[in-house]
Amino acid sequence: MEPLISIQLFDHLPAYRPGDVLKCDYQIDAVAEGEIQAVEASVLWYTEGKGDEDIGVHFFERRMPADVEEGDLRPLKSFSTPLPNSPLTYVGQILTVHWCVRVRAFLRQGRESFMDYPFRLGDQLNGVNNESDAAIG
Amino acid sequence: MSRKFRIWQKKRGRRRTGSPTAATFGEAAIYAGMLMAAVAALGAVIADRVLAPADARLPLMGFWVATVVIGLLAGIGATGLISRLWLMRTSAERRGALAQKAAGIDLLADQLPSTRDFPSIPRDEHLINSPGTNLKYRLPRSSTLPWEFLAVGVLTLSWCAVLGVGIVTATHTSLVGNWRWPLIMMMFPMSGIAFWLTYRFLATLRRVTRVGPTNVEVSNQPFVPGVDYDIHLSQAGRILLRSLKVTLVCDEEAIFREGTDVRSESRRVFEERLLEMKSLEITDDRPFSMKCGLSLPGNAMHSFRSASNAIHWRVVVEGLPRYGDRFERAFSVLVHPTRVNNGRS
Repeated sequence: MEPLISIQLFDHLPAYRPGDVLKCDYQIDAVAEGEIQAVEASVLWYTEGKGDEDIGVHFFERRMPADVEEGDLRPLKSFSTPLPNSPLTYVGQILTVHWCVRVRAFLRQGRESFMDYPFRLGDQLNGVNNESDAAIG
Repeated sequence: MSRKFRIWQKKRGRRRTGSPTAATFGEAAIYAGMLMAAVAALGAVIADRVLAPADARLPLMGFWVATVVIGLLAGIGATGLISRLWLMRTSAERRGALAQKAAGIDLLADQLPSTRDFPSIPRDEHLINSPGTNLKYRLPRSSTLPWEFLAVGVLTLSWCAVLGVGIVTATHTSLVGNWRWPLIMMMFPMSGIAFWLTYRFLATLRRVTRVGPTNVEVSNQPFVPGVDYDIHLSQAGRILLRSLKVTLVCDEEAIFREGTDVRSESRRVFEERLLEMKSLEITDDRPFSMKCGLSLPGNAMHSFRSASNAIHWRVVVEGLPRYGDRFERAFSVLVHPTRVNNGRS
């Protein structure tokens, strides 16, 4: 059974602006106590479109059972990080830049489970062409 | 992950028909095979040196050459195997974070604040280190003409050299009574191609010599959406132009792999005419010079560059001569996001 990963962002609507502080809570449920071997939380951007996918990690945190009291990685955990000036969220014709918070849980027997929580960086829709704007809606 | 194994795979956006895990596993298996073969071969070479009778051994030089070659193969196999195992055991985010950390210890990083303040926006040193005479900065030109000129020149000379050898050979053999008709007949189409190439070469040469340097200067850099800027264009040379256009363009560029091929694609997503002049006569003592305004849309995306994707802004100057081919010269400009924040990430 897949673990249930919950992510909550604060003040992220309609969009974060460069320099804003991203505050995030995450929690892992529906999994036995000793099942999780490590948890990685990251704030990252990635590209999507015609080209190969690029990824840029802005914030990264890896936790092991030895790093927490009682070795339980399931309880609620918070982190915060100031967001950079770029790249801003963008929807173009052959290139899209997405931002997200990603929580990845490493389980026993090499199993993994992750969840993305997308958000927008930039207080406007960064598409200079009308098609892009229409595509965002 | 794909349900069925396929030799030919497809990619659309983020979706692929193949499994990256299976691909990494396959690569690891190849490297492991290479390492095992190299170790076995090395063992055989050393055993031959130690155990074989003296007259049946490899010569000393051959032994060392074989040892070095097999050792290199073993090194490649071991490095590849370790890196693929590392890939299988770490997440993309962790690898990205390590790469980011490694980039952060660049000794020059402190002297290049723009890269840290604006991640994934290209460095702007070369765009602002050339002061202008009419406006603040002169833009560097992303030139294509010298390469075209060189390519056409080399091709024309090579073709003419081959044609020359063919003509001399055909003439020489004909004079001694040995008519080589296939060679003689081949000279006619080759001569036609040589004439066409020479015409192209002369046209390019004329364009190079008649169209003088193009200078574009801007009132400030980097550009910020929603702000007005001035642009100054100066075009020198000796030429009659039907039209001269200045355009601000934004291109998305993508690099992607299809099997072992690396391909690229570009898509123009924005184009705005800044200036258009008709029927111009440019002379040595009277270069064309004009100033115009530029304003980026408020929702314009900033310049962007990552390993396989980019967004480039350029000022493109396009001329259509009364005689000869059109010419185009592009000048890169840098666009930063609207909201400027000096807090470092």
